[in-house]
Amino acid sequence: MTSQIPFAAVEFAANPEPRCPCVLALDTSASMAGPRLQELQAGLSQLKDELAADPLARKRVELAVLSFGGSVRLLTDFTTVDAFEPPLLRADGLTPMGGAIAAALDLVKARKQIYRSNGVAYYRPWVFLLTDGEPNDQWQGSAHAVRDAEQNRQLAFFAVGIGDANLDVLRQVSLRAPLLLKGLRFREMFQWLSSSLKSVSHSGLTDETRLENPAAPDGWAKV
Amino acid sequence: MLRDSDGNALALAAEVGRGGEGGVYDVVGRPGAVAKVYAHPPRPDKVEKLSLMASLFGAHPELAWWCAWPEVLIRDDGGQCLGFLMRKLEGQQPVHDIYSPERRKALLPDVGWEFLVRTATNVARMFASLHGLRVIVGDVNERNLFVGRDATVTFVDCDSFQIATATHVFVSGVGVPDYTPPELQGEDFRTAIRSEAHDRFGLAVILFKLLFMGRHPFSGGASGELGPAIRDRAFDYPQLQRRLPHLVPLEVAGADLAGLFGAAFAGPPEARPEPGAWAEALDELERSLQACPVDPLHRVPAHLDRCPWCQIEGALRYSYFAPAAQGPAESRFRVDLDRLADLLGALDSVAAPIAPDQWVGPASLDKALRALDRALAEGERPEAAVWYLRAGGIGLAALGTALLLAGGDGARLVVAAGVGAWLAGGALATWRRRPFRRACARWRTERDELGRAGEDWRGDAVRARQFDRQTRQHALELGAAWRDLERRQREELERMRGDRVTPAWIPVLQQTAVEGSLIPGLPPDRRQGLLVRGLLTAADLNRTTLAQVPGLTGAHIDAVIAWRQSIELQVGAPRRLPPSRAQHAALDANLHHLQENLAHEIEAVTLQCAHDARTADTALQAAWHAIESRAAATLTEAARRDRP
Repeated sequence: MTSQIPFAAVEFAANPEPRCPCVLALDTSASMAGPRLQELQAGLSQLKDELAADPLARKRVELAVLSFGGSVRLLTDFTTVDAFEPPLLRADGLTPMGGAIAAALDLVKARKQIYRSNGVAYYRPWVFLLTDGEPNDQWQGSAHAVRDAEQNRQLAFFAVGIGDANLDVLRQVSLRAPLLLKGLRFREMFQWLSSSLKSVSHSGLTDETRLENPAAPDGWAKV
Repeated sequence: MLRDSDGNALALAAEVGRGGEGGVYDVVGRPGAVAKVYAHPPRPDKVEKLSLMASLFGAHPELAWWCAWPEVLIRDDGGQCLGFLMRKLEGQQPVHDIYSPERRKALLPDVGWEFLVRTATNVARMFASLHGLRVIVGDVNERNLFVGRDATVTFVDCDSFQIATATHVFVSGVGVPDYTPPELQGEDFRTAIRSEAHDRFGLAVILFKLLFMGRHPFSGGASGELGPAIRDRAFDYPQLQRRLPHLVPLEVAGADLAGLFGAAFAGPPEARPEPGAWAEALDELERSLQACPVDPLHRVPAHLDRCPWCQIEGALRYSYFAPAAQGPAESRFRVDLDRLADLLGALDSVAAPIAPDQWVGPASLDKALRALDRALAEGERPEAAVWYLRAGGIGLAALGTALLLAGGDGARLVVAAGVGAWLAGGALATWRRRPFRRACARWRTERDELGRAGEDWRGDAVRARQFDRQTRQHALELGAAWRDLERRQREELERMRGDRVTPAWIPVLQQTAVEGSLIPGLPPDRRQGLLVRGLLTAADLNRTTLAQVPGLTGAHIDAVIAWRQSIELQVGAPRRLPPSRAQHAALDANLHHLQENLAHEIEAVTLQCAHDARTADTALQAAWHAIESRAAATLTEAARRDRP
């Protein structure tokens, strides 16, 4: 009997390392226009550079980028860091956060399926949501799904608010206390994200209590 | 001030690495070593562990073959241990960049499966050696194991090894779930005491990844996470390889190794194969490998009748090995002595700054100074009128005295007139010379200053010449380095062929004396020749030193080298591979690069010399003109004889 060859097989033959998938769900609604979006864009490049400088993380961490401004768009599907190119962000429209969260969960689910069918090990996927407003769509269903997945340790969900973000909504989405970015400290935030992903991809530790606390007095966020 | 254990001061140079615990630095004057310096002084028990490790190293210097071992503790002036010295790794890659196909193809494009098998053998031998000394690795993982281009392996982060005394166990304190055996999954690494059986699990994972293209033996489990899959002993690879055509079947490694992997991953802790068993089986596998007629990088184990790599490539449209590398299987670099001669010739044709004695200047200054001296001397000579008055005065005084003695009348008057004339002469001289004396003093000062300016100028001219000579000397040193490339090429080739002793092995080879040793293939009288030439221990033996022993044939030299290598093997030094095309190509590229750098430097020196000579000549000329015109002015003034 001849078996089928899944298309992704080459990708995982060339690089069989366990994967550490991370979805960046980024708010690109109209209110993000200006310095916020510029800082965010610069932060994406910084994230890539810092991860790529780590020989193990560059083979293990996979990034996907979703934007939600007006509509939800998949800007970059999961790509290992060495091939990741930060997509160009454009600010426009309202804040369909519920749709974005649902899309992020679907994305993670599909990716895990690909890992499994190719027999590749993976670490607990991360979803990193960044918003400066409040959802203008149905989000309660997505919130429920996130809390479910997190409770079953299928997912680590991080929510970060910027400026006037509605933290009450984020609190209902995320089991983990949502964080409020101090000012425009995107640089520090992405530094934290890259070093957290590095330590996860190095050791397989999934217990985020061992991550550096971003809400420490000199950190980039407050609770 | 940092000091080693003998109290020698250590000066840290560039930082070569940084981790969570501190930094790793080059050390001034110790090219083969680096210093690990902790960011915070280690706790007393850590210091105790490190000094235990350092004393273990003293008894077993061969540890440096396998590890960046803490060889010597570093302390500050207060005696506080701040870190240690260890061997410096050069040109080695982390093992995950070797077993991961894509990275390996980029880093080592011309190696085949035999390289991975050899690397695995060396890893197994390393564990055998460490366990032989009752050292437990503990934190086996893909980041603290490095692989060289010759498949030799080195452990780093050795301060996390588990070391035991009769009464105390210094635990590793860290670990990674992917390499942790089922019985330790979920344990707290900070306190867990590791055993050889635990290490054997991690060893088996590393060996598996090396042989099976970077796959973790437990990947493919339902949860996706490795830790739980290991805990459940879910070694699914044999089933998975039927479903996934890109996996290298276990059978490729042969039944012996497949059995060892089964025992290591699915069996109880006590059934895990010991390192020596792995080394033996891997050695066997390597010996059985044959060339594939289709692709020069494919190696086919004797127990298979078809090339497994051709089969996988056919199914997957992906090759685990790079396309056959191009390039010579020898070093083609030749030192370009003609070009060096041209470069040095071009430098020779650049004129040095003009020598002081070749200048018209200094001679004319001397002339001017002499003229000034003359003018001053002349100026200070009294005038004729004074002479006449004084001579007349003396004459009159003498006449008056004679008359006085003769009792002549009016003689007193004559004497008085003479004395008067003499005094008048003096007064006249003083009165007439008064303004001139000031001018003379000025000219004398001026003369001294001119003399000094001349000396300074001469000093500048001499210095310009000296500087030029030094610069040229530098070019000659560069030329010497250029000629030396030939020796470096020879030595590097020797090192690559394994003829050269790896520095870390010297302590052990030094323990084997040539005298009294039976060297197969070398007659005893020839052995005497080695001793006469000062080759006393096995550490002294390499092709360069042996070439200088009269009466040795090529066969003798081969025999001596083989003997030295047999000692290395007895004590467990890693086996090494013959140099590859890529290594030769890299060596050639490196030497070419060095030669180009030297050429650029010599050209730069040539330009510098020409520029410096031009600048010096112009500056000297200008300075001279200033002196000359000043001298001329003084001289003219003095020569005007503007005097009384």
